[in-house]
Amino acid sequence: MKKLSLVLTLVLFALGFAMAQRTVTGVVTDDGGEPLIGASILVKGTSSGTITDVDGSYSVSVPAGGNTLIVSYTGYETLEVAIGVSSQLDITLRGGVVLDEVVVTALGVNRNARETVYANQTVGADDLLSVTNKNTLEALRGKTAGVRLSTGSGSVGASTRIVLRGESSLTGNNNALIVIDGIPIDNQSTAGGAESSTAGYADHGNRFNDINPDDIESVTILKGPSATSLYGSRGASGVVLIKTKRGSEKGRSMRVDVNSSYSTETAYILLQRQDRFGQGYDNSHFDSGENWSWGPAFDGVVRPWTSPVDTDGDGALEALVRPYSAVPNQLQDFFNRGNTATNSIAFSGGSNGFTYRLSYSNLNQNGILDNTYYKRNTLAFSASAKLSDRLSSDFSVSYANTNQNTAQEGSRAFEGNNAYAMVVQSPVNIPFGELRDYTSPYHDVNGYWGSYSSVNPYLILNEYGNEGKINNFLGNASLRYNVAKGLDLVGRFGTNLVTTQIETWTPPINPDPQLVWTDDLVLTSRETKQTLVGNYTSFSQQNLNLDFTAQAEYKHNFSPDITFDISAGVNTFQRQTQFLTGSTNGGLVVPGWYNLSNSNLAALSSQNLTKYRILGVLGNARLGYKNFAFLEYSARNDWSSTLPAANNSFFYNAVGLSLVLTDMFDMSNSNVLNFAKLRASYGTSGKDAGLYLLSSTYTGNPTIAALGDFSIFFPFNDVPGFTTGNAIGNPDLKPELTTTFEIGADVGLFNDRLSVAYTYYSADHSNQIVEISLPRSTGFTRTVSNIGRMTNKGHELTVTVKPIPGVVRGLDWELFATYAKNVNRVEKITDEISELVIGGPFTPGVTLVAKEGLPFGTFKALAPLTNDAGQVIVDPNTGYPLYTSEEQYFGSFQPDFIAGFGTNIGYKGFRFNILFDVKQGGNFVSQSKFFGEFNGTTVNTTTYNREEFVFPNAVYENADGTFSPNDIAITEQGYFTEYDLAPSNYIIDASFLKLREIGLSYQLPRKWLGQHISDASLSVFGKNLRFWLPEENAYADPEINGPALNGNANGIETTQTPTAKSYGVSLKLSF
Amino acid sequence: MNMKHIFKASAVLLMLFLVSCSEKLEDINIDPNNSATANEKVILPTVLANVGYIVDADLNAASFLWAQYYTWGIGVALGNQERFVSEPDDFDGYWGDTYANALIDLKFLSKSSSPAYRGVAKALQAYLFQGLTDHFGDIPYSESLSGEIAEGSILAPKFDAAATVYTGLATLIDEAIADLSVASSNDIGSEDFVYGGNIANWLKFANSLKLRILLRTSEVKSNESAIKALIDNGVFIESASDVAVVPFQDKAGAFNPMYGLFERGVGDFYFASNATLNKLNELIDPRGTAFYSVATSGPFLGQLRGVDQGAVDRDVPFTDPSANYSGSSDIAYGPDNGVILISDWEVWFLRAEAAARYATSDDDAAAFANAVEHNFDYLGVSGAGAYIASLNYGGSLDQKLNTIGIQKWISMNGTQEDEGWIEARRFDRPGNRIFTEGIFQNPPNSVLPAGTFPASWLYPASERSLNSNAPAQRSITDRIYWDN
Repeated sequence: MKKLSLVLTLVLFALGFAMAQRTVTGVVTDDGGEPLIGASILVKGTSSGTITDVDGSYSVSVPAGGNTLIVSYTGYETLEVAIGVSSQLDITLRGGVVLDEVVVTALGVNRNARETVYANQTVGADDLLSVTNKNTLEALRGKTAGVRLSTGSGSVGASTRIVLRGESSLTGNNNALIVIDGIPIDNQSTAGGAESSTAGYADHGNRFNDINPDDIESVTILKGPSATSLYGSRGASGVVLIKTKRGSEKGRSMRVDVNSSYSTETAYILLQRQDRFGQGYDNSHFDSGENWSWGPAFDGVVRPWTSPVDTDGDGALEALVRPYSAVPNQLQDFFNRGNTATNSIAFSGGSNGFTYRLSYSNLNQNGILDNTYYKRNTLAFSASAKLSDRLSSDFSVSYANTNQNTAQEGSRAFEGNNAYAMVVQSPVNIPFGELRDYTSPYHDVNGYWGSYSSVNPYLILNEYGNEGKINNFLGNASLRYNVAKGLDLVGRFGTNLVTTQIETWTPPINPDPQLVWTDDLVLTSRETKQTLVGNYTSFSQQNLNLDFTAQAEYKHNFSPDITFDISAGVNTFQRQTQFLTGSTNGGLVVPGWYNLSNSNLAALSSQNLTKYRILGVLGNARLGYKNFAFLEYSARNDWSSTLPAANNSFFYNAVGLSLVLTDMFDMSNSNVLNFAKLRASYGTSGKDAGLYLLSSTYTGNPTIAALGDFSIFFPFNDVPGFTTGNAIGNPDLKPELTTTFEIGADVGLFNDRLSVAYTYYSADHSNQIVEISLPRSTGFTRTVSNIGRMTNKGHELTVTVKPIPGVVRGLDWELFATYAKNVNRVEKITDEISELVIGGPFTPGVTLVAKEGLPFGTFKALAPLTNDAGQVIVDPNTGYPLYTSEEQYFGSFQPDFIAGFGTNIGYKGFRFNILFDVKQGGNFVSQSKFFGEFNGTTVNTTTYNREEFVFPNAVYENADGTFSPNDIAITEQGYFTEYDLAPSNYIIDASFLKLREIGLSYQLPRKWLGQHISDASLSVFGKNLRFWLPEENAYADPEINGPALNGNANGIETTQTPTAKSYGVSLKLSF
Repeated sequence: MNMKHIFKASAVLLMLFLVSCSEKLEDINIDPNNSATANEKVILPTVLANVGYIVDADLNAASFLWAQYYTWGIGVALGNQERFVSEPDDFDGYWGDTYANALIDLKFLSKSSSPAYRGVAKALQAYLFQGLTDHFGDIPYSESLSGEIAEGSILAPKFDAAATVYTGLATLIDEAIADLSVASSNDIGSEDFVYGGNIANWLKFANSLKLRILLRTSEVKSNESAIKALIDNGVFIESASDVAVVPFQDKAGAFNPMYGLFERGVGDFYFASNATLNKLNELIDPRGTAFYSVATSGPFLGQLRGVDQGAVDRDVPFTDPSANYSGSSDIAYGPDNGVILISDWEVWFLRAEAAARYATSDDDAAAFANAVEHNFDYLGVSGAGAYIASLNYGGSLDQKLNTIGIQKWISMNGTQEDEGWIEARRFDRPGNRIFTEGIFQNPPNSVLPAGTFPASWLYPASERSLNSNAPAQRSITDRIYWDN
C-alpha cells in the first residue's frame, strides 16, 4: 500500500499538481496545427477565464488552487488540460468529437451521456469513415463492445448479421433492430438461387446495405432493457440507432461535401493446398478428367490437360498441354482484382430556422469473382424547419437503387451453380487463370477438362445469372408542437418500402461425350458431363413498413436541483410483404433468352403474402437531482397481431439509476479520478410470435420432392393436390419475456487520459416461443410453444488511453480497446425435449442444436471412437477408426470473447489509425476441408507421402475385450475417400486475429486551400490486411460462415467466396 | 400556422391512427398462404404421389444394394452402404416422408364419411406401417400421428413392439376390407391415379396386402387359419391389369422418383452385382438382359458384365467407360416407369408359399408357375415354360420354400427391390441360409464380420433426438421380429 501511494504521488507530481497563483500563456490550435480564434479558456473551479486572439494565443491568470484549464471551441471537443510546471501551455483541440457527449437514446431523444442509465456506445462519423466501407455495419467491427457481426459471403453486396450480447431467442430472429432517425427499417436479407447451404444460394444482402455511409452522423448501440423496452417487441434483440446527417445553420450558407474513394480488392485465400500430387488415383494413374488429386507425383513432364477436341474442323483432335505440376497461386489466379469506386456529394445548410441536406452517392463495385458487380445509387434529402416559435418539423426521404450480379455460394459443386466450389474441388494442376475464355474450344462445354458433372467455373459466372435489383425508399416526417412551457406534442410517421426483383437462371447445357487422357495418354470416353435443361426464375418482392408515433413530452423543474420529465404516447407499426415467384418448367425453348414465356411447359408460380401489426402505448419518466443522480422509468404495453386474442396484450417496463459520483462527492478537483459514473438498470421486455403460428393449415399443390430439374410436384398428372401442413398450430401462445439486469461504470482517470466503461449484464430470456422440431411420428415436423429459456451473461469493457495529451504540440494520440465476453446457455427447452435442431444436418453430417446446459448453436456430430486411454479404436477389418455410437457435442459457434484494439494518432494534419479485432473461441464446420480431403488437395492428405501408414495412437479391440496396438496399414487415398471420416473432424476452431484497418490521412492546411475550399483531406487505407488463424484452420475465413442470411444457423463454411483484402485512396473536400 | 390548423392536423392524424386500429388484430393473423380446409378429393392424389416416392426413392433406391441386385462399381469411391456402415441420418428421409407426408394425410382420409376413401386410406396405412416395421421393427404405431391438440397432443409417441404392430396391421387391413366391401364405386374418381376409383381393384389390393401381412410372420407366428380363410374368400391381384402402380411420366414435375433422385445427382452409377448375375447364370435364367443393360463397348461387348458386390474393380483400368459394364435396364430405371406397390407375380408367390405351407385351396406348383410366368410376361422375356420346368419345383417344404424364395428374390429385381430385400431376409431361414450362406457376396471392405449381413435399418437420427420415447439405437445386424 505504501508503495502504491508513493507511485501515485510520483505520477500525480509528474502530471502537475496544485501550484501558486500565476499566469499561463499559450496557443490553442486545431489538430491541423491551425490557430483557433475565440476559443474559450476557463480555469476549472474558478471564475477566471479568457478567449484566444487572432493568433490563437491566450493569457490567463490562474488563482491559487486552480490546476486545470477547460478549453472549449464550438465544433471541437472540450478539453480539460492540467496546468503543468511550465507557464507555457499549448493546447490542441480535436474537431468533430464532443467529449461531454450528447447521445441519442430510444425514440430519438437526445440526452447528455451522463444522464443515461444504461450502457450505450456511440460511434461517430469520423470513426465510421476511418476507412471507406460499403456498409456502415462493417465499420463497427472492433470499435464497439459486444457487437457480433458475421457475413454470409465475400461476394459483392453480401449480407451482414448483427447480434448484440449473444443470441437471445432460440428459434426467433436474433438480429438487432435497426432504427434510422426513429423509424425501424426493414433489414431482411434477400436470398436467391437454390436457397440451401449445399445446392447453392445467392446472397443479395440485407437492406441496411442500401444506406449511404456518408449520410450517417452516428451509430448508437442500445443493448440494455431500458433502452430496448421502448422499441417494444421488435427491439428485444437490441437496437442499432442510426442518426443521419442534417444541415446546419452555422457556418456558410451552403456547405458542399464531396467524398471520392477508389479501392482495389483481391481475394484473401486461406485454403492451403498440397503441391506434390496431381490428377488421378492410386498414386499411379493419370486421368485428365478427374477431380481427384490422388494421382502420380508431379514429374514436370508436358502432358495434355484439356479434353481432346477437334478445334479446327480438320478431323484431328487437339488439346492444350502443360508440364504436369502444381499451379502456383492456383486459387488466387481464379479471382480477378476487384475494384470499388465511390463518389458522394452532399449539399447542406440552413438559415432562419430552416436546414436542409441533399446528398447523392454512387458506388460501383466489380467483385473479385468474374462478372460480379454491385452498383448502388442513393439520393437522400432532409429538411427541418422551425415553422413558428412553437412548431417545428423535420422531414427526410431517401431512395436507393441497387443493381447486383452475384455468384451462388454453397459447397455442392457438381450439381450446383457454385463456381468457386468447382475450383476448390479440382486437382492442384489445373491452371484456372487460363480457363477465363470459356468460349474457347479448349474450355467450352465440350473442351473443358473436367468430368463428372463439372462445368467451367467461368461459364457458371458468366452464363448463369443471379441478378438482383432493389429499390429502397425510406421516408420520415415529424412534427413537434410546443403546447405550453415544458409541454411538447410530437408526431412522427415513417415508411420504408423495399421492392426486390431477383432473376436467377441457368443455361441449357448439352455436352458431347467427353474424351479423357489416361495413363500413357490412352484416350477413353465418358458421358458424365453436366446436362441442364435450362431454367429461369423471377422473384419479385415488396415489403412495406409503416410506423406512426404520437407522443406528449413534459418537462418540469421542481427546483433548480430537481429536474423531471415525462413522456407518453402511442405507436403503431405495420409490415406487409408480398412476393411472387415464377419459374420456367421443363427447360427453356430458346437458349439464351431468359423469360417465363420461354418455358417448355406451362411456367410455375408461387406466392406469399404477409401482414403484421403491433400497437403500443408507452411512457417514460425521468427524475434528475443536482445533475448527478438520475432515475428513469419506462414502460410499454403492446398488442400484437401474431398472438392469440386472449394473450395479445403484454406489458413490460424498466427502471434505471445513474449516479455521477465525482459530482456527488465533489471530487471534480481530483486529478486522479476526474469522472466516475455508476449506473444500474433492471427491466423486462417482451417479444411476440412469428406470423401465422396459431392454427394448423393445409398446403395447396405441394412439392413431393425437391430435386431441381427433376422435382415432383402438384398439380401431378394434371390433378391438383393438397396436403396437411407440417406445423401444428398453437392457439395458446403467450409473449416471450426477457428480464435483464445490468450494472456498470464509466470512469475517467488522470483528466481522461484513461477512460473506462464497464458493464456487467445478465439476461434471462424465458417463456420463449420456440419452434419445436417434432418427431416425425407425430405426423408433423414442427410446432411452437412457450417453453424455452436461455440466459446470456457477460462483461463489456471499453478502454481509451490518451497517453500524452498536450506534451507534443499538435500530437493527439489515442489507444483504445474493446472487449466483450458473453456466456450463453440454453437453460430449458421442454420437459420432454432437451434439444432443438437449429440447422442441418450440414455436410458431412454435422447438426447445429440448442441443447439444455450448453450454449445455443452447439455442434453435434459422430466422432472417432476412443478407449479409456484416449486411443482411437479402429475397425479390425479395415484399419479405419470406428465412430461413436451416438453423436457428441463439439462447442458452439459462439465465441468466448470478441475484442478490438487499435490506435489513432493525429499530428499536424496527419491522422493515422490502425485497428485489430479478435474473436477467440467458437467453432465452425469446414466443408472446404471436407471436399479438399476427399479430393486429395489439402496439405494433410500428404502427411504420409501417399504411402501406406498405420493410423497412429490407435488400437483395435480383440474378441475378449482387450486392445491390441493397431498394426493395420491403410492408404491416405483409402482413408480420405473410401472411408468417411467421422464428421467431428470437420469442426474446427473459429478464432482469429485480424488486422482490420490501416488508414493514413492528411488534412491539407487551410492556407493552401484558398477561400472556396474549407476542408480537404486525402487518405490511403487498407482493409483486411492480415489474418492470423489457429494452426488447425488451413481452410477458410471463420467469419465467412453463413448461410447467415435471416436464419440462426451460423458457423457453416460452405466454400463461400473468400473475404477481399483491399487497398484504396480517398479524397474528401468541403466547400 | 395557427392553433386551429394544428388541431385539425392532429385530429386527422388521430383519425388515421384509429382507422388503422379498427381492423381486428386477430383477423390480420389469418394465414393467406395456406388453406384452412381441405377435402378427400385433393388429399388422395397427394398421398398416392407420396407413396410412389417413398416406395421408389426411399426404399427401392436404397435396398437394391443390400438385396445385392446392384453394387457401386468401377471408378467410384465406395459408399458407406457397401461397407455396411450406416449412419442414423441416412434414414431420416424415409421416416419423415412416411409419417409426416403420407400417413398424416391418410389419417385425414381415414376419417372420411365415405367408406371408399376410408377403405383406401386404411389399406394404404397398413401398407406403409408394414414397410416401417419391416425395416425398423418397433415403431410408433398406436400413439403415432396424434400431434394435433384435438388428437391429444402426443408429441413423443411411444414405440410399439413389432409383434404388436403386426397384430394391429391385421386389424387395420380387416377394417379396410370391411369399408371397401360397402363402398360405392362412384365416390372416388380420376384423382385416384392408381385404380381410377375402381373399388373392386382396391379390394384386391387390400386382400393381397392382407396375405402379405399374414405370411410375413410365417417363421415366428403361423396365421394358417386366417390365411386359408383369406384364400377361400378373397379376391386378389391376379393379372397385369390388377397391379397397383403409381404412374409417373417423362416430364417435369412427374418424373419417376428413383430416376429423378439419381439424375438430380450424378446419375445412375450403379452396376449389376455379380451376386445376382452368378445366380442367374447358374440357373440359365433368361431375365438378365431384362434387368440390366449389356456392355456396349469393351471386351464384354453385347454381354452382361457385373462387378463383385462392394468391390471397386481395380483389376481393370479405373477409367474404363461405364459402357464396358452392365448398368440398369430401361425396365429398372427410366423417367416414365411407374412404381409398383404390389405386383401380380408377388401375389402369386405369396399364394404359392401359402399353399405349400398351409395347403390352402390353391395349388402351390401352379401358383408358383403363375408367379414366374407373370414376371417373365411383365419383363417381356419369353421361355418361361422351359425355365419353370428346369427349376423342378417340388420336394420337401424347405426345398419348395428355397425355390420360391430365390425365384421371388429374382422377380423383385428392377421393380420391387425393397420387397426383394425384405423377403430375402425372411426366406434366409435357420438351416436354409440360402442368401447369407449362398447367394450373397461378402463386400471386401465390410465392417461386419465375414458372413454377416444387415438385417434392419438404424432408427433415424431425427426421431431419436426428438422423441424421448425412442429406444436405444440398435445395430444393423439386429433382426426384425419375424426374421429368424
